[in-house]
Amino acid sequence: MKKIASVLAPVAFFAVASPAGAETVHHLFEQGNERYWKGDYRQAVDIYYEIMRLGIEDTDLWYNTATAYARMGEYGRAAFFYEKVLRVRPRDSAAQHNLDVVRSTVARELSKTRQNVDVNPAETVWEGVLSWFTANELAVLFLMFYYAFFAAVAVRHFQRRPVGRVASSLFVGIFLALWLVSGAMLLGKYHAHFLSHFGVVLEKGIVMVREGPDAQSPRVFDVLEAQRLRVVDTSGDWVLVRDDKGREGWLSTDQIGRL
Amino acid sequence: MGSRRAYSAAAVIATLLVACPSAAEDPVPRIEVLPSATVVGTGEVFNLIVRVVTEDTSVESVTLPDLSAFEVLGQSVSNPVQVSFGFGSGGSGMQTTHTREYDIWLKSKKPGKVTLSEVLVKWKGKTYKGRPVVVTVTSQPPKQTSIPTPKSPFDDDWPFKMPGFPQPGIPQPMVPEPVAPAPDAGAGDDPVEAILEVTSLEGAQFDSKMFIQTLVEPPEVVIGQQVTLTLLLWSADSMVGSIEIPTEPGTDGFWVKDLLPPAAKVNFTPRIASGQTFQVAVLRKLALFPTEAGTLTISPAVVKTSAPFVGLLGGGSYTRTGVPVTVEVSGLPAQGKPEGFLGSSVGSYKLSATLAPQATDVDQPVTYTLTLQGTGNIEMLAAPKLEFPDGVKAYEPQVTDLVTLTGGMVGGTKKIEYLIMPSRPGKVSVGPVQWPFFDPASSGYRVLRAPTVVLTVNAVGGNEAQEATTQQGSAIQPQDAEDRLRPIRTVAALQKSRAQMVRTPWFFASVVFPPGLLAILYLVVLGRTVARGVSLRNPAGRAFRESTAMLRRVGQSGDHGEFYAGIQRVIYTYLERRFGIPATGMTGPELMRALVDAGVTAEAAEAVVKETENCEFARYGRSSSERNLDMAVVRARVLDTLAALERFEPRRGKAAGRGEAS
Repeated sequence: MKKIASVLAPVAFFAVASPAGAETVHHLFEQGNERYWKGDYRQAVDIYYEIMRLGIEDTDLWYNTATAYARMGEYGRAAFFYEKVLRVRPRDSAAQHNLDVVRSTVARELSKTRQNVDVNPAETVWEGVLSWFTANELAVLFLMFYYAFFAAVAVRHFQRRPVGRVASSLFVGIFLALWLVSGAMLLGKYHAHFLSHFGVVLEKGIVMVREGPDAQSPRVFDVLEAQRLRVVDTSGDWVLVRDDKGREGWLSTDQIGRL
Repeated sequence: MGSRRAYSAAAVIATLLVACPSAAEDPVPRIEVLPSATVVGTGEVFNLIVRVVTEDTSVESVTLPDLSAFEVLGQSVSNPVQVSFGFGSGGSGMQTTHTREYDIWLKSKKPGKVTLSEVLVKWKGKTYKGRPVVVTVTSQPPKQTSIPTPKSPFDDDWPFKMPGFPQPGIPQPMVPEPVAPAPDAGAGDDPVEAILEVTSLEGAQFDSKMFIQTLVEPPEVVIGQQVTLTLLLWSADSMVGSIEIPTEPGTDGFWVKDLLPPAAKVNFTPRIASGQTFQVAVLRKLALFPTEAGTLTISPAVVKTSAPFVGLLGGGSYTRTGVPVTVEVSGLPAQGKPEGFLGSSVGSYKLSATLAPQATDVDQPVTYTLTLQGTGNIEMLAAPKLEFPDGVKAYEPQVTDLVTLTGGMVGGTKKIEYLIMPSRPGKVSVGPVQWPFFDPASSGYRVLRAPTVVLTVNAVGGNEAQEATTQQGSAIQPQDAEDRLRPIRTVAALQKSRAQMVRTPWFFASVVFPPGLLAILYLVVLGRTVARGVSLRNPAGRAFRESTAMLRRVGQSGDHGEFYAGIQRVIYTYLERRFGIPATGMTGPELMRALVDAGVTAEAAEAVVKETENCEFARYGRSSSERNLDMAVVRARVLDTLAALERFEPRRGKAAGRGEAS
């Protein structure tokens, strides 16, 4: 196995790094799109996965994979890949629209057999604001205000005229405030993006969440296909999840896709 | 107890009555005339079944009713025999039930009531009549009716079970694909009709027990034109056991298409040849398309049969070999051959082109479809060569063949779907398309043309693009525009994953850089201070820095009086801040004493006093040598003097007490 990996690794690297490799990847991408347009969604997904196995992590690739899954009626997997896209590109309107379509379709189908179906995740204002920015955007903002603050301090230091000193002091205050706000947002984003873990329910329909990491363990509550959950812990093939209401329980790893 | 005996006696009598019905009455044939509908529309196709069931022996003849008021589309006859063994009052015995069933497909001609007269059956020297049946033909248009395959013992609703009847698992010839059922299949597709068309024993070697016949129609064709081969089994025995075809008819030089379904059922129909009644069945029906010119020989098939009841009802096992038959194949004429003609394009076709949708966005695909429809070897047709205009990307076409049989002729539809994607906005013209073929009916070439279609491409792309049509086979079927999924992306960077900026080392470096720079600057200043010999613990070091800055600014006007006044002010300010000595107004000795009290050595104090006195002289004494010195030299000297004072820790208590001393 190690030998195979050692052989495949340079091949994969070549496939991606070299111009010829990039061409191969784009050719595969076009093949996948072609299969999609011809209605062969399963094969399209297979080709997109082949590209991912080459180490490509691209939001457009995830987007197409999600759309192909949506076409197949595998809404959980579709939502999973749309969520991945939105984590990197939060203002991707097409991905957000399609995710809404997928979740509303799930809600419509499940509402035939169940009342009060809500697949959309609850979000606080703070989370909403944070989710509007990418981590990179907040990092750039943070650095910008940070340097602006130090520049304003330096200007103030060398400013002798009283008017100049007042004006530079004002700028020092403004940039300090912006620096602190952007820093707080960056910290929040970092926490949400890198320290907190989320997952999307892949299994179709209504899925039982269990009290313990065991298939025989009693049901605690239900979650729905394409629903987003917070991942709290893992134990072997089981994942401890928490829903928007704060309830916790266990799902097996094949029932949930971790973002 | 008495009632029990009475019940037992009644049961015995009832059993005897049921078991021996024939003892009570003479057997008569059961005659059934069963139309599928008694009220039909004009032109409607319906089915009439005439069934005669007899025991012991089959009927001698059956006279069907007059059917001239209808168009007879097809007819089949079957003669199943049911054999049963039982124990009657006379002991054990075998009983046979003979059925003759006519399955007739009729088409009504004109409105009115039609009375189907009685069926006359001759059996054991007597004539029996059935009951007449009235069929009302209305002026209503016909309903959709299809003619089913004639029943066989393998149908679930077959009324009689006859062990030893031919099994359906006959080896099939090597064919590419099964034939799809023709939507307008007529009686010509019915194998029975092929038998009815037999007028001679051409392609057969007669045998009074059993023989096989190989028919080809037509025997003279051009390359690519269909020849229909029919392999018939003629059997003198009324029942045949299993049938095997160890050797198929040789079809070298032909492209072969099976015209029978994969699980073909073998149906026998009575026919007369050389004055003898035979049961005839179609074993093979193939469409052959010659691929080369010349005299092509179809080598004979070999058929093996076995008897169903050896020694019981007669019959036996046979192996029969057919006779070779030939087909004359002409090449296609060279004269008049159009440009772009491909050899396999033989038949009779129509060509059409469609574009769906006719408007789209940039980088969103549409489907351009060419459809060839007609009679001929549809699977072997070569797709027309297409060249799309610049700015249009075309993927490999998807070719779909729907093969149908109409009147025994292979035909159907070939659909060639090109997925094309425009990369520029505007109007794009696709076509016209020309496609030549050879028509055997007119023995000439023809060229089909599909007109130009125009695609409108809108200059909208990226995330705003909309799907022009609903995707085929999609699980999500939009109920309105908002439910429609946005299309997939055609352009992607497709690069390996990159770490988020916030997790890269240079982000950390960028954050650390400003405070780090400040720290470095601070350390530099500190180092310079230490280098001058100033104590790091000196809290008043700031006084020296400020005095130094003041010193650089004095004398900028060039006036010596002002310069020395400034120098003196710098020294006094320094002494005030550094040692708390209010030196302004002090005499030389007083200043000397105050400095010594503040912890300064007498030597250093003397240097300070001397500087102040120099300033006094220079300010007021015009002949002072100081006035001739360069200001920079004076600044440097004063700076050294002040720097020398930085070495001493001020003793503020004593300095503060200078006022008392004065």
